[in-house]
Amino acid sequence: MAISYVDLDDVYPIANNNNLNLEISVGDGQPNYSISVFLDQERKGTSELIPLGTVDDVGGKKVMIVIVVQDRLTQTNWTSFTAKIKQGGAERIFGPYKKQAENHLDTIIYTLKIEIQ
Amino acid sequence: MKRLILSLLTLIVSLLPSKGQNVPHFETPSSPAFTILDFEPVSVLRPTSPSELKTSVLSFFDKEGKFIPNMGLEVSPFWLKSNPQLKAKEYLDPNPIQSIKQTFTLSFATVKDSANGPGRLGMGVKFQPISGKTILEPKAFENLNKVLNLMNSVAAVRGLVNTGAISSLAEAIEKLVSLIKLDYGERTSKYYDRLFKEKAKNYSDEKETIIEFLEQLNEEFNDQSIRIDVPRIRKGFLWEIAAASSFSTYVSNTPDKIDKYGVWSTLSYKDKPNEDFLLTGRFFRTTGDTVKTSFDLGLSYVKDFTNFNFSIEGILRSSNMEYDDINSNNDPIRRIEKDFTYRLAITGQYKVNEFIYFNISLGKTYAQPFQSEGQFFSTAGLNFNLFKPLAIAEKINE
Repeated sequence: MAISYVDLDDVYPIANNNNLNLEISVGDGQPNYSISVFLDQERKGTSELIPLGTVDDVGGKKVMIVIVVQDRLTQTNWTSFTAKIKQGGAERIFGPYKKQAENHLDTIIYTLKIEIQ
Repeated sequence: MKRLILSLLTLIVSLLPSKGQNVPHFETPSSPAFTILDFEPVSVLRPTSPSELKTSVLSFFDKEGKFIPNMGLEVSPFWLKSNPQLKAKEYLDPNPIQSIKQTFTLSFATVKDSANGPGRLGMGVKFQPISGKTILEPKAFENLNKVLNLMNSVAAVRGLVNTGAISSLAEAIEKLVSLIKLDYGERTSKYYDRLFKEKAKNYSDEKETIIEFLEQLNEEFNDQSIRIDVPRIRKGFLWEIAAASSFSTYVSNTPDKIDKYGVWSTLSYKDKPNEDFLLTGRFFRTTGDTVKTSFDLGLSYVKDFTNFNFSIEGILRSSNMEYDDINSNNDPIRRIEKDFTYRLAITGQYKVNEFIYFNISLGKTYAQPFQSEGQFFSTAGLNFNLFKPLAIAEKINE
């Protein structure tokens, strides 16, 4: 079974002076996946909700979100994920990014790099 | 000697006189359209995208727009597109609306009994208003996630190489090992440190080569991951409803007249993995010169032990037949006959070894409608499973 890499880039302009939080959701009902989030080279967490830090902590840095999804559903070969950066009342949604696995049990690896400006 | 006795027993059991019948399918059919036609098409199309659906529908018709016989189609509209909003938690433990959405399936089938005879079209629908809760076997789930986490770490280092944050093979391995140490501790990280350094011998420090090395590592982890089977355990209530109808497609080859329709409803409850309760209702009506109606209501209980399982089932059947007849005065009348019968059965299966199963059924079967009393039956037999299922177990270094 094959692996497909999906490499994505985006930008997040800082909205206000509040702390930044990241929320990730993996869709299409796929139950077997792995998440990791990096701020430059430092791994910030491996869960769906990750506090990224203050504006000073993250300004000018790159957030890298890595999602590994293995298609384990018999009903569909679709995989997808959505990322959300929340900063006080402001919110920016990235995605949903989707890819259909060619075959059942194929693995899709998403890498989303977000430049914090 | 033991084998000889077993062979003799096998022969004796297979020659035992048996009356009655096998246990009927008690649950809602997987494809109602096929069941209503009593026919399993050779070719069943299961489209997974709107474009595949379009192609599948078109393949049901010939150039003249007539139905092509012996075709089957099953489609679940919800799964034709991506559903990014559907999290695993909602999929595995859905509320009634989500449950109906994700289980709603339409089925179609065409059949032609003879070359020049009329064709028949079957159409069916099936859905589950209540699906229960699906639990992924925790140990297997954890094992698979460990491998996916390793793949995630490799992919993260690949991402860092792509951005230029890491520029040598040694740095890439060092970063990867540090991530594994965070997840699985010193001992495991040392094991992988040695392994990666051994595997990296044929790779250089060029960016493309480092990425190739990391992608090769992920291929190997992926090969491990797909061998991990994660069994699903369903708990709680499950309610499934299905309905189907069949149409004659006479000369015009287009749906003409409903000749049979049916509705199934099954409510089951599972609390322990080895125990299942089932309550089923089935209604069928066949139209034509003779109109037959039947309604079944059944209850069954299934219990699995390590090498033995047994089931008890009882089904009540009410039948009704209407047809044109002539009375004693030679006047045409519409005759209506009603009947009531039941079936009771106890079925057991003993696993002698991985290849041989011993089955036994005892009980009373239905009386033939309007003809005779129900008969007691007993059957015994052996099943041979020539293909041994492969046990899949993957050890992951900890």
